[in-house]
Amino acid sequence: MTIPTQLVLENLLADPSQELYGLQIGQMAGLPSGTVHPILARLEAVGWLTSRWEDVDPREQGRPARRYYRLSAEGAVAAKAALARAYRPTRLPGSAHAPGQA
Amino acid sequence: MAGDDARSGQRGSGAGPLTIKERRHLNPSRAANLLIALAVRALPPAHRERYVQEFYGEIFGMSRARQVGYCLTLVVHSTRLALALDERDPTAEESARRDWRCALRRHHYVTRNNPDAETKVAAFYEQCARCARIRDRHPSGYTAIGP
Repeated sequence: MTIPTQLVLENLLADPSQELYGLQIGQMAGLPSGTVHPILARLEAVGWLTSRWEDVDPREQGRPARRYYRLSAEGAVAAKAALARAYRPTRLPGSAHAPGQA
Repeated sequence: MAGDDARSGQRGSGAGPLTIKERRHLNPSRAANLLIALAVRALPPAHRERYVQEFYGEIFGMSRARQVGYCLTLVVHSTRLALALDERDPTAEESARRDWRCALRRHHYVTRNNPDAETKVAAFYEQCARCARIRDRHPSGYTAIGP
């Protein structure tokens, strides 16, 4: 699992019931916009995420509807397990290299 | 979040509808329209409409400069999104079986219609009848999309 995917999942797992749209997820994970949507598409494809259009009338609201994403019940369980197994380089204090890297 | 007032598309309570100047500020710039059209061109036609709407929903309320910056990254990473969508596209396996003529770029394109599309860019596309490779029918139609 890539680091950006881990960051996305961590942010979604912070509150699994919360619905977020792509821009918000990217901002919370500190990722550029273009990298978030491919991750969301993959996670949605494997059933970890569900998405839906915001239930608003664009004319009434004066803005387009957003696409909201949230973790599915099985996705939340699977994401937690996957994150626990995932390799995550952490920089040690005073060290320029992450552990496990050459 | 900063910019939520602008995103809501409304001024403070009871302030009335937005002025033309305010609406113009909130609408996507031409550059953003163009970049979104470019970003979705790489995607499978069935997904274009959804992502056009999704990207418009996200850039709404941004400053024009930020819209362009945001959309540029969408363009840069559009191939990744296309690959991610291809992985779950049932026609992807079919397209992997290539005819020798297609390997020589001698495709047999037929025009297909995406009935769910609301924009010109996403409505028509050309697809090879042999390998399912997709070519846009309206390569110069960038300005056709937009709210």
